[in-house]
Amino acid sequence: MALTVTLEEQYRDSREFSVSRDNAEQRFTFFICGNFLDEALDDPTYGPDDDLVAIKAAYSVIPPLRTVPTYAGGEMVLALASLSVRQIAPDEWKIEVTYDIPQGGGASGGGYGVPDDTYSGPDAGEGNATNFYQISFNVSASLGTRKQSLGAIACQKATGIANTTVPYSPGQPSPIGHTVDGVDGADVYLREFSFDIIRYMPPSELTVAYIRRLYRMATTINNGIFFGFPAFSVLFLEASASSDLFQVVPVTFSFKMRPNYVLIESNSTILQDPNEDDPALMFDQIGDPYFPAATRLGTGLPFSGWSQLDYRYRPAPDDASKMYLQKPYLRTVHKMYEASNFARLEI
Amino acid sequence: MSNEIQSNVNMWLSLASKTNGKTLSLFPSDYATLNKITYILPARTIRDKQDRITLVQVDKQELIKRLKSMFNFMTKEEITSELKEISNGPDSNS
Repeated sequence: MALTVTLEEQYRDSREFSVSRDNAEQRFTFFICGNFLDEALDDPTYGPDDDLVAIKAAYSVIPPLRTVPTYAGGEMVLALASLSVRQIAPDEWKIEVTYDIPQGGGASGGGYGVPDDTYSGPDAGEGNATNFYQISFNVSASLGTRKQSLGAIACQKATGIANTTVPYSPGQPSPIGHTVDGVDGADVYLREFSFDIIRYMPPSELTVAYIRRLYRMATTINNGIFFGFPAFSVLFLEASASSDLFQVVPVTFSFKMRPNYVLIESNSTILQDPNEDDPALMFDQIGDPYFPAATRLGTGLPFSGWSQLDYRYRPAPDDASKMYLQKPYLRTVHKMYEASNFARLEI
Repeated sequence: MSNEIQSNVNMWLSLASKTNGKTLSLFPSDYATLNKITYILPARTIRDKQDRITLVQVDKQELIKRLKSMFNFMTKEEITSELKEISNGPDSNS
């Protein structure tokens, strides 16, 4: 038989309200009636556990919060602070409920009286105001200089020159903008991806120690997987918030992401498969036929998207085309940012 | 949208997701407050002997769904999935 429950509030004795300098409290008294014995397990030694059935029924109907007016004219939300259940008859239990300001002056529930962890269900302990987030993002492009093309499309010598052999074959990455001193390169649009995550923090978590940690972590990259992005691909730029005593505080964290990469000895650059979900396989393969393949030293892992690829050119003769050309002779990958554990951001 | 409203919505979302059971019980005045943010029909009302409403119960999943879609809130998993989709550049074969 299904449990059916009715609830009746006690006349006059319920809703007692008291307010003091440090606290506000309201008490309610209800009577809950139902076929609790029908749903109880009858233990041969200890008897039926209809008390547990009644408690569960009470949990299901008692509101977790109560909004009350303040002396100043506003409102404050009180959280469920205590709940006691006492049997009156086999099918009737008396429930006394107290609502008050959560511990920490409203901080634990973000000032809105979100119930204490005791009544918050199986996820209790994470903080009540941190379940849901908002994001904003920006996909854009900015001008950068590319000194070596992705590949020559056509390369021809001027009409009338006897030796028609050219130094670059179709598809071969080649330096752009040769000068006597080096390679000027050409402007290209480079993709940029930035995103903000807004986390709603209880005021008590926004401590000076936490803010100091954010400052120390600004301009570092992630040393582990972060929101599905592989290690070393996300740069933490800034975090901003304006604290509040009585409500959850939106904290905005700003990040930029650049895809990690490996260098392959090839004419072709292979971008990461857009459907790839494994962070270990999320990297681009940049083709460079002039140097041996390279990965992060000693690890075999991709380079950070935030490491800088740097070429040095010098003039050298090209025997086939009988030309004197700028040729790459040194390639350096520079580390530009330190890494940190983004779990410490507590997003 | 002001931060205050957003944090209000976040409070309701957190509350709904952390309360046991299929419904969220509210006093009528709190139900009225919630309805200023998003209108949601009661799943059940509990009345006294004079037929006055003592408590209002709303469907938790429906409330979460409405608030999340109206104010574009997401869980960590949803953010992760969305960010991956946005960032995974052009198809390598294109």
